[in-house]
Amino acid sequence: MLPDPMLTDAEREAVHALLVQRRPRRVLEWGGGGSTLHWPALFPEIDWWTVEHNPQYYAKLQAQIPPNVTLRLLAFPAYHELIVDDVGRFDVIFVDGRQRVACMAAARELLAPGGIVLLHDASRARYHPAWLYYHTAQEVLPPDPARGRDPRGLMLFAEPRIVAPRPGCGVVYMAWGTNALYQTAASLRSLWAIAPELPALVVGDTHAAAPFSTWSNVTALALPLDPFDERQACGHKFLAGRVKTWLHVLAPWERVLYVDADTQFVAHPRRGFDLLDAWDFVLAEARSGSVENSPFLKPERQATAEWLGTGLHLYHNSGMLFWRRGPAVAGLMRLWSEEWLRYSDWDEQIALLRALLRSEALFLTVPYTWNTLENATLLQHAYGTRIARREESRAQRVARGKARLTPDQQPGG
Amino acid sequence: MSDSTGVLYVAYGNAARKQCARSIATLFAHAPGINVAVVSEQPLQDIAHLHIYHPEADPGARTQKTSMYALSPFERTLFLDADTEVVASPAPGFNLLQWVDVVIAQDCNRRFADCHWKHLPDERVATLDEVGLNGDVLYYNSGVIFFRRSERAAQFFARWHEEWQRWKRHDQMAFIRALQHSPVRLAVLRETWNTHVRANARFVWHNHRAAARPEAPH
Repeated sequence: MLPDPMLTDAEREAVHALLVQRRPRRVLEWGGGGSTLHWPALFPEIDWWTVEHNPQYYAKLQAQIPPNVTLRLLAFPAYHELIVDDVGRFDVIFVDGRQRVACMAAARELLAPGGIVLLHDASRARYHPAWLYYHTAQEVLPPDPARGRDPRGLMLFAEPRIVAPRPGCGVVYMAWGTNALYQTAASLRSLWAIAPELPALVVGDTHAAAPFSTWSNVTALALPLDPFDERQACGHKFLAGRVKTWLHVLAPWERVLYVDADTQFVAHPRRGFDLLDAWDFVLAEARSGSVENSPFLKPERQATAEWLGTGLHLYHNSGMLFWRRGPAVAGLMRLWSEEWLRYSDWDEQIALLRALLRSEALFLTVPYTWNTLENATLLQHAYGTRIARREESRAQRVARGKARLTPDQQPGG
Repeated sequence: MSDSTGVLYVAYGNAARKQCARSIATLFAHAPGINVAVVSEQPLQDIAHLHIYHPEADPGARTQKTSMYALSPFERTLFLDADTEVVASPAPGFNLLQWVDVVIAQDCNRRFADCHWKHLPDERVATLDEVGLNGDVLYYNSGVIFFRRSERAAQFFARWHEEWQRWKRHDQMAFIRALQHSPVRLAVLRETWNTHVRANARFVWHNHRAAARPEAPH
């Protein structure tokens, strides 16, 4: 009898059906286990590769693997840094081990034309950023609420999104919902009144992003991610940390400025782009307060202050972020996502501070005046007003019609 | 704290040495047994410290202050102005050095644009011009600095010394010019970490200019 993969019966049937239907020549599996013994024995014609990080588990598997399995023991980060020259391309990639978001990113380069990636436990919020790496995301098996805190879920991804780096500078917005749509439009108009040459990327839900697809000099990108958490209190349902921490994956430019939608430009952002000659990442301090003395999210703040050894470290407003594309910022953003997931709350800024410190990035803190409510020197930012994140209920969002910008909201209108 | 951790002072003249001795006493109250080195033309009396002799160079002793990286015998250093009183353990500052090259607090003037010195027009104008951004950059108080040894830090501190030598007046303006040319990973603490308002001091109460000689530049 073949050892069972650690999948539910329904998942096992779904994977089996996919392997029968797609007849892959080569399969890569991140995270070895029962599946490493089960599927290759069942499909001996498949050239099956498995990557495992745990030496004990690796040793156990090695003694039992069928002859069509290539088993590799790799420590992090080599575990997810496979390169095509070394391992070749695969028709099916199964992501079911550690560091799944990083594996999903790497899988894009390892897929054969027409290949697919299967992500196990896809319902876990910490894996959602992986969705940004593919144009197509399809539910193979929905999460099972009966499983309680870990409802699992199996998703299929295809058509990898590989953003070709582009020289120059650009501005990124995040827009989910009607309020953000109108705020983004207004902010873009203020940007182009000062810097008409700058291209923009608007990332959001279909409702908010789609209207920008007809604007010149804007790339609109509708994503299947849902950054709302209905369990949060009113005003705190939008979890920017689910998206903001991965925008570097989507922005193609050499130098990028991310701004919150509820902003108005009062100066050319060149001042920040120029600083990236020397720095990887530039952001403004919060106007007041330090890690220890802001009134919200006390447990996270207290824990961070303890970790730092002091609560007097300033923290940052993440509504304006300049970055230079490169490994230092990619590493910083990965850490930001990791740190945000520890608390997964509506404020992603304290997590950003922890990530900045843990990262290798050269970051510069500029005064709050760059990005503030009054007398701003770059961005007039209506933070705290929740003007761009006023929530609709999930039902309202689903039922909402296809709002469009009116002509007077178009640039130059 | 290991032997490669310590506190560095610069103290020239009787007033500065007296202030320095007082500062060390307050330091020992919160970090008993911590290594202390004092750069001076003569050692302090009755206080355990490593004396680093350096001839007097300028009335404000900024030649030595801006050479703190080169003069420090420690791997991880806390530099303290002589006119300081330590009111809490320095351990948090050293803790931050596991992630960054330099730890420093904001000045009471948070932005360079907010600083106005009638007696320093040339350097201020030149610094505004070189730093750009109409002075819309953070401004730091250089009286309390934690730093660790790294290639980046070495370059930064060398540049700081160079920048200071251009006018030989104000080391904090030189600090922001140096930062522009030689970036370091910097942890920035709020002003109460190192403040001249005694009631607000969380780590250091800074009795500005108590150790200065009359001929030292402001």
